[in-house]
Amino acid sequence: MIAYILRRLLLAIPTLFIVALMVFFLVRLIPGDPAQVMLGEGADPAALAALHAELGLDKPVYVQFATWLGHVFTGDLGTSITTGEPVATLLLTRAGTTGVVVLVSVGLATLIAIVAGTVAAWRRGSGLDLAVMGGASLILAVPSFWLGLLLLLVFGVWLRWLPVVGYIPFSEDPWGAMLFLILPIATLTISESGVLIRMMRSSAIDVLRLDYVTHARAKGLAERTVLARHVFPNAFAPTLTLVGLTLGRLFGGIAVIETVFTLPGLGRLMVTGVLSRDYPVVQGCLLFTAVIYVLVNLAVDLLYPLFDPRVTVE
Amino acid sequence: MRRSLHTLLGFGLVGALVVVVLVGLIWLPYDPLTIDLDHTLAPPSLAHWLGTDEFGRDVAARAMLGARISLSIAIETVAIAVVAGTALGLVAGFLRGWTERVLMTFSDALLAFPGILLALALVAVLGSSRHSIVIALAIAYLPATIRVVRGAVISIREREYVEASRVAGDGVVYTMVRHVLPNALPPILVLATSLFGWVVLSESALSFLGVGVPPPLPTWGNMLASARPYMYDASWLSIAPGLCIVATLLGVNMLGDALRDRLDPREAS
Repeated sequence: MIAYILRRLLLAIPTLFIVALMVFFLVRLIPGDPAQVMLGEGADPAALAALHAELGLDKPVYVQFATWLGHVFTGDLGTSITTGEPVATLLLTRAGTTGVVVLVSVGLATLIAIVAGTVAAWRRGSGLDLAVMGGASLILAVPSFWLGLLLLLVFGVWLRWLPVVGYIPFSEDPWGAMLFLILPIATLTISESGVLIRMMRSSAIDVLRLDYVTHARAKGLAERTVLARHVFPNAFAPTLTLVGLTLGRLFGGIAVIETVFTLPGLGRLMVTGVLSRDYPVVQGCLLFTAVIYVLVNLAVDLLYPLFDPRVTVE
Repeated sequence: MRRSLHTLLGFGLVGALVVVVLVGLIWLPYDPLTIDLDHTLAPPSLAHWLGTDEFGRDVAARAMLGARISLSIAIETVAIAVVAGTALGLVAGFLRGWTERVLMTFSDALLAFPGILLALALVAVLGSSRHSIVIALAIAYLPATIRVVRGAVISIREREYVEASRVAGDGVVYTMVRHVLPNALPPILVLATSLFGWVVLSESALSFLGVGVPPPLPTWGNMLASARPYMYDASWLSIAPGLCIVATLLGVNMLGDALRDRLDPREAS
């Protein structure tokens, strides 16, 4: 088991290295002097010279990359050009909001998917199945940001139950913060449940066909027990993989949701970074989310044998 | 029966969309770019079916032009991603060995960036224009294409006819193009259809974030973005462009399901 974990960790290293390489060279793709690009036209010559020295622009590219990677390992991701704050600090303060929204939403969406997908598979072909699958297909066709806008329109503008714009940090007022987070979480939960429901249903259908399910039924077990004890554990593994991929993707990928609900999250940070050409921030966000993606998927791979006993750790 | 209804609905939605785009080429109810400050934020009426926006521009005309822009971007993006992804996936899956390892390491690394963030970063580098959006999205969806094609090719290369072609002394390129590629086409076609839906979605998201096609040209995404501040006074602005995206995705996904059932019976549910 430990050997497996170690080997899986070792396999992640080349991926992470290339991720770092891509993030580093992304800014170098921009034509012109990188320091000039980062500071913008009409930058102060002294600041330009300082940045030149910091980036080591007079040295060969591989030395620059090594220097940059060294900084990254010590947690130094550079400073934001627009605010002057360290990028690492910005990332950490923003990650909390995004993390809460993503974790709660994906958790809820997984629960919905397990119940709806298993029940739809169990009553395959019935009106209930049709309704669940129809709902899931519809969800897949609705852009999350539009769903968010609609929810805002209904609950914020028409019913006036929830605030439309703004955000209060958890540390200041937990209850107030919750009010601002309800709609983003609801939006993301609905949006992400579509694909998870379909996955759960199709693996539950495969498992329901197996002999041991017939055997469990023949023993006289209640249907509820058959589904909960025999079908769910063996059908959940593919959905778990998908949950992992979703978590990793959403951590940086909910920029649109954060924009709709004006939440100060990671995605929003990246978007403002792009719009104001704040390249250290863009690099930092990319690197951070990619590393999280790799780590989350690593965790899922390590958890996999727990959920699917047929997968032996080799 | 239910399946065929599903397929029919898919054809209907996509067909309606194509008709809207074609009609828009020769006739639009108004000029979608003309500003009319006397009629700003007008609710839907007989004169303006879907109302007017904050500059008095006709929403229906803008949505029709938006359809043309969004769909042409999606077609170009899918074409680039599929052609490049098929070439790379074919090489990786057929040659195996080091070529495959290098290609897959790069594609896995690309896959580690959330698609929308990668596209955002590329647009930041390339500048905000129609071309850079196509290139950025094509790169963002390239790894998925490489993966699918490589997977299909790996199983095809073990078949007898490929072996026979090799034994007959055919060159590697000839065998790949003549025998492997045609048999890998069904999964590629299914992928291209799903890809089309994803690209429409991502392009609208990029436009919504303000890094898509630059204004004043309309896309469904930037129409929604500019509707956000007028939610109190003009909620209809937030409805129509969203419905257009939903109808497109629903139609494309349904056609994709039908195509998968037809081409790959094992996946049918």
